[in-house]
Amino acid sequence: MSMCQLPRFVFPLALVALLLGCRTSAPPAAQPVASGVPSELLQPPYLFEIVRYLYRWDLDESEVERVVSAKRFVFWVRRLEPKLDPGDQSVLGEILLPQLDLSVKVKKADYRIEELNTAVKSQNFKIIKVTRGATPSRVPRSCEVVAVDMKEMRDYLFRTRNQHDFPDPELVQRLREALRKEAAKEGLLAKMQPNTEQVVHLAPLSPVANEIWVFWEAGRKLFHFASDIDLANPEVWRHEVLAAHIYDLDQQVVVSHEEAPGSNRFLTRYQVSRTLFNCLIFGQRITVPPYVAPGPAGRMPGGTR
Amino acid sequence: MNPMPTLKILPVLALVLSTIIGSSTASAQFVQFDRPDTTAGYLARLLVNETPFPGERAYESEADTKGAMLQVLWVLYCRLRFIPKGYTQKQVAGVRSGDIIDVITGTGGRRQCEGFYRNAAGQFVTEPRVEERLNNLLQITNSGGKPGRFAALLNYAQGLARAYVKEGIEGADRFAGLKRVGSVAVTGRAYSWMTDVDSYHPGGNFVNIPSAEDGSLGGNRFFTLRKEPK
Repeated sequence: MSMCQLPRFVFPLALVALLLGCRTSAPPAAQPVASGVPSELLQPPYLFEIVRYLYRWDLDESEVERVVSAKRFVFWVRRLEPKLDPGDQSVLGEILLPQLDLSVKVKKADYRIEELNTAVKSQNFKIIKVTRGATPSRVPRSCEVVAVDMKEMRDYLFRTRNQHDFPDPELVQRLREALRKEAAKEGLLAKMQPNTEQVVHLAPLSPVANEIWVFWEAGRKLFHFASDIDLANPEVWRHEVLAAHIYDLDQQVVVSHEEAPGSNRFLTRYQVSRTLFNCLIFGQRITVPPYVAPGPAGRMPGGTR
Repeated sequence: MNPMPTLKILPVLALVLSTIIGSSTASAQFVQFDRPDTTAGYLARLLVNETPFPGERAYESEADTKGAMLQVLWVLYCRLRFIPKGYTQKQVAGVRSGDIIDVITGTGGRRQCEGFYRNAAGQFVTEPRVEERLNNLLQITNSGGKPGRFAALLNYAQGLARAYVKEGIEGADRFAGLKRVGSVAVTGRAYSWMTDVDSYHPGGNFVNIPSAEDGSLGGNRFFTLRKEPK
């Protein structure tokens, strides 16, 4: 056999070995996995949601084109075991996507804030960080491998590409109040005609992320709300533990971070474009009515879509 | 009406009231932050602003947040003093200055740390939300009956900033803000280390810094000192 023939035989054998080694169907959600990886992280429906989040918020067309012709889409999944505070039962994991050179850190929070007598408990694993370029060249020993059919995943992404998951009316109302409060903190309402109704656009939610992006039309601002606590939990809003970041689109957008090296202040035009697309095209338009001072006849009116 | 029953409960009432008043006074002292127009107060606000607290999305642990605060300070210090060969400070930090405040604020429209800038009068100031978040954290801190993680984190940030301003980076060790270990009042800072085996102890007035305070690092256990020597 000549050397130039070798790869033709080696490649199919390697592929067979790879596929045999891969988990093609995940264990039932309740079934423990020997490596300690929570089995819910290995379920294809969950992993599809992770990719859908990336598809909506992170991936660009060149990355989709890079992997779309592959037969299988591979996930390396592991449990992370950082030292947590005493009594903190949270579980952290990492989902590596080697074909995209992306890693996603996820967390299922389960701890208490003693000062507030509040439980911070997530119903499922939520994305807390997406990192590019940190994927090792080989599957780490601590990882479980899940390989899904690319066509199945591609069909799922295509089918759900316009799916809108919006907050329920109760959460929308809390958002209205939080937006008004955040804007007031910034002194924005004073500049922006507080007695007029304001229009904001909420980007769709993801079941695997605890965050909401909001575009405030007249204020030309982006709000990003994110928390360890499920956003539907009223405690989040009651105690303002939730972190809100506000981006001024007139001041904080650059084409490239090279324009302000080392600064953590700026978003790129590409990042903002994607966020605006998700807020305006996929998003939910809601109104934030003018504030009416509490009193016998005063109330905080709700808005409508 | 017989006044005696009322009189009988007065001492109890006084005790309850003094307990309530006493605890509320104590809770107000869980954390004391320097004014924002001082270097130590401004730096402490940055450390708090840039790191996650319990309930926030990136929160992992108290030790992790403290480590992040220290690392933020080190980044600032490196921008001041350790510019790598082949780079200028302007390239790395966006400014040319020996003042940590300038490194935090940057210049002109190119602010380096979001929310921290110099106003038209040249004063270093913060966006309102920075102070708002700090006030919210202080309120949470003081809402508990005893100092918890929020107090530990805020005290660490302020202690680190004060130590840096007073003594430079050498003073900015991770144990600078340590005030208590369990029920023992301590001096803060580490004065001894030993291989991290629980049975080892240097004796005397040394107090084991617990792992929750990052007392176990690099295979060593660090020790601080009792505030009041035995």
